[in-house]
Amino acid sequence: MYTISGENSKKQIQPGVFLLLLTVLCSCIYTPSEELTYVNPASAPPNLTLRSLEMDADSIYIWSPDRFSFTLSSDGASVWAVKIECLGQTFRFDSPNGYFDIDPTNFADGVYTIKMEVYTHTGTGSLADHLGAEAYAFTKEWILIIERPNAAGIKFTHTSTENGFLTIHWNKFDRPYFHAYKIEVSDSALHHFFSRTITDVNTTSICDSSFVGGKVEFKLKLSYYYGDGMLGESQVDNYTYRFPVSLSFEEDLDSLTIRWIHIPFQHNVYVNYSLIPGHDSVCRLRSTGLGDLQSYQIAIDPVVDLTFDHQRYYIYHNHTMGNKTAVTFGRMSYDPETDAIYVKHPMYFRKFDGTAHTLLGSYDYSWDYYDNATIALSPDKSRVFTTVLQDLVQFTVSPFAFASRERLPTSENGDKTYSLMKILNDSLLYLTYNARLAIFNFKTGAVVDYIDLSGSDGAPYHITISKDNRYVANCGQGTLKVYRNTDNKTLDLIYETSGNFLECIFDPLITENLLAVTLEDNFILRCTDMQVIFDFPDNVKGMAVNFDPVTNYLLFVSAVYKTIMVYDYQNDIIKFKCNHHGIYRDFYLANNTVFHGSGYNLNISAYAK
Amino acid sequence: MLLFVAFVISGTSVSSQQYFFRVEAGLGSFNMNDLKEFQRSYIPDLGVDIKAISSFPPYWGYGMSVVTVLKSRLGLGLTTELFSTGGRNYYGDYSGEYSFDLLTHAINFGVVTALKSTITSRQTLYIEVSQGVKISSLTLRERLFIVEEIFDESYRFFSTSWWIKPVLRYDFTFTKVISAGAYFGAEINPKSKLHLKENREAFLVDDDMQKVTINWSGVRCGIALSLNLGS
Repeated sequence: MYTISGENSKKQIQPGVFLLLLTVLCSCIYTPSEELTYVNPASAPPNLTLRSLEMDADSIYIWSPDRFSFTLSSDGASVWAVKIECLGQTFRFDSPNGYFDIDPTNFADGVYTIKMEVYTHTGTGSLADHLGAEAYAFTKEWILIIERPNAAGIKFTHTSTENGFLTIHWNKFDRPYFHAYKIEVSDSALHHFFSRTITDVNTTSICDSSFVGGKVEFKLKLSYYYGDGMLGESQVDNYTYRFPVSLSFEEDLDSLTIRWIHIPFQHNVYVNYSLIPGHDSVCRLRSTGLGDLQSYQIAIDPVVDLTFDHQRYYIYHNHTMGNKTAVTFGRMSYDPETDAIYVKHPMYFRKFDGTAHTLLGSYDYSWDYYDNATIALSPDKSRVFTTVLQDLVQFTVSPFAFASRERLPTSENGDKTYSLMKILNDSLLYLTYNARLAIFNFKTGAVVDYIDLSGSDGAPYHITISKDNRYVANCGQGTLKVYRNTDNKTLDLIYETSGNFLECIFDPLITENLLAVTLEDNFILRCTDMQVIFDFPDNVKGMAVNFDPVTNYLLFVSAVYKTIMVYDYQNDIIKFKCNHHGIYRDFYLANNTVFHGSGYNLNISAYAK
Repeated sequence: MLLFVAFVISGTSVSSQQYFFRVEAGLGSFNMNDLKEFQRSYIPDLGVDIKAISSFPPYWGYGMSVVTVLKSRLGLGLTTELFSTGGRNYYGDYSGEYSFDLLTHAINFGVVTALKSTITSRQTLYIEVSQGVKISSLTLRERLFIVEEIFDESYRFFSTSWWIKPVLRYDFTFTKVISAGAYFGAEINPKSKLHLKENREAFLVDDDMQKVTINWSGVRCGIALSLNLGS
C-alpha cells in the first residue's frame, strides 16, 4: 500500500513537477547576446572654415532672385549636414558644399536674416556620431538686406586738396549690384570737360588735376545691375565747386601791384601773357597811370596739359589810376568863380559841382557828330553856351537849366564843326568852325570879322583866345599867327612867325602870355612885344593841355614818355608827375585835379611838391 | 501517418502494453544556411562595425512524448518538440545600439516509432524514429536606439514542413516509475519558405529576390526523463 500509496502519491505529484519543468524549459528559449563596443566619447570640436565668396560678409544684399553657394571645410571631423533658413525657406544639405536660391520678389525691402546651421561629426566613431545623432553644431547668421536698385542713390560728400589738386569724394556704394561710378567733370573756367567710369567700388574720389580756380561742376551717377543683368543708372548728384579768384589793384605813382588770393592748386600765372615766376599771388608792374580803364588779364594755367594751350582760367579786371566820378567828358571847362565844372560830350552837356563832382544838371541829345568842344560862359557868368548839332544852346548857370536853342544863322552853307567858342558880350562871340574863326553876332547871324586858320580843321589846341579876348592865336602848317581884336569888330594880324608849332595856349592869369609848343621846345611868348620870356626846361615834356584855372599850373601830357606832368612855369617847378595811357586831349587840369574824360581823376595835392 | 494510425489501433487493441511520459532536453545544431546568408547580407553600413555576433548556434531543445511499448517491443507514441535558435547583428556603444535579431522557433508535432531492446533489467536501448509536422517561426526585429528609440520594427514569418528524426536512445530505470536516459540522433528537415504572418503569399526574400528558407536539419542529442505511467 505504501508503495501503492506511495506510487499513488508520486502519480499525484509527478504531473505538477513535469509541468513546472516544462514551463522552466520553455522559458529558456534562445536569446542572442549583446556585445558593447568601447569608444572614447571625448573629442574636440573641429575648426570650421567657411569658404565662399558669396557669403564671407556679415551682410548680404539681394535685390533679385539669386543663388548663393557655400563651401565648408573642417580641419577635423567632417561636415555631414548643413541647414539654412532664409525668408521662410529651409534648405538642407548633406555635404559641406551646396547652393540655395533666394527669391526676394514677394518680400519688401528691409532687413532679414539667413541662418546656417552646420553639423560635423564628433570624430568619436560612435554609432551616434556616424548617424548624426551626436555632432558638433555650428551656427552662423547673416543679415540679409533686400534692397532693390531703384532705391539706390549716391552723393558727393566733400572736396579736398591733395598734392595741389582738387579731389572730390563721394560715399562708397558697397552693394553687390554695383557696376560703376560715372563722373562727369565740367570746368567752366577752362572750358574743359572729361568723364570717368570707375568700376572699383572702393574708389570713392577723383582728382581733377586741371582745376585751378573758377567753377567746376561735378556730376555723379551710379551704374548698377538690374536683376536681369541689364544696367541702370541712378539719379545724378550735382556738386558745384567754386574757387573764384578775385584781383585787387594797388597803384602808386611808380608801380601797379596786382594781388589775388592764394590758389592752393598747382598752377602757373600769366599776367597779360607774361609768366609770373613763383606763386606769391602778387604781381608788380610799372604803373600805367591815368587814362581810360584798362583791362588786365590774369591767366591761371594748370600744370597738366589740356587739349588746347589757351585752356586757362582767365580773370579780367578793369583798372586805372584815380578816382571814378561821373565827370566824363569830351571837353571840360572849370570855372573857379562858381566852382562849377561844365563838360561837353557828344551826347550831353552837363554841369558838375567843382568840389564834390556831383552832377548839377544835364542836357542830353542824340549824338552830335559835329561839335565836341564848345563850352563858353557869358562874361557875367550868368549863362553858359554850347553848340549842339549846329544849334546854339544857352543854359542858365544857377540853377543850371536849359534856356534856349536856336539855329546858328551862319551865312555859310553846309555842315560845320564847331571847335571853339568864347562869348564876347550879349550878342557877339568867337566861333571857330571848319577852318575859320569868326566874330559872330549870334543875335543877327552876321559875321563881324573872321580869319582863316592855319591847319585844316581848326583843332582846339591850334587856336586860343586870351582870357581878356584881346588876342587870338593860331598855329599850324609851320606858322604861328597872333591877332588882335579891335573893338570886337576886326581881327588884326599882329604877329606871324614860322616854326614847327604844334599848339598854342594863352595864360589865363597873365593874359598876354602865350604858350607855344613846338617840336623842338616850349616857350612863353609875350604878346605885347612878341618876346620870348620863358623857355621851358627840357625835362618838361609833352603836349600842353591847359593851365589850371586855379593854380595856373600847366598840364603836360607826353605821348612819347607816357607821362603826365604838372608844371609851375612861373616858379619852374614840376609839381607832379605820373604815368598815363591816354591821349593828351582827354586830360584836363583844374583845381589841382587831373581829370580824364573817362571820369577818373586824381587830386595831386597830396603829391604836389 | 500510417505509423500514427497503427499506434492508435495498437493502443486500443492491446491491453498488456506500458505507457511512458517522457520529457527531454537536448542540444541541437541547425543548418539554417539560408538564414545565415541572409543575416550576413543584412548588415547595414552605418559607419560602425556591426557584427553578426551570433548566427544560429546550436541550442537547447525541449520535447515531451507519450509512448506506449507493446509486448512486441515496438513502441509507438506521440511527441512534440520545441527548438529555438537565432542570429543577431549588433553594434552598441555609449551612444546607442543597433541590433537586427532573427529569432527562430520551431515546434514539432509527430509520432514516435521505437524498437525496444533490453540490455539489462534496468537498462534499455531504443531505436526511435520520430516524424511529423514542423511549424517554424522567424521573428525579424531591427532596432536602433540613440539616446532614444529611433526605430523598432519587427516582422514575423511562418513556415510549415515535415521532419524526421532517427535517434538512438538509452534508458536507465531507477524505479518502477522513473527512468532517465540519453539520446543521440539527427533531424532531417527539408528547407521551407517563410511567409509573412499576415500574408501567406508574402515570402522572405534576399537581395537577389530569392526566397529565404529555414532548415532545422542537424544533430540532436540530449537527456530524457521518463515516467512510467503503468500498464
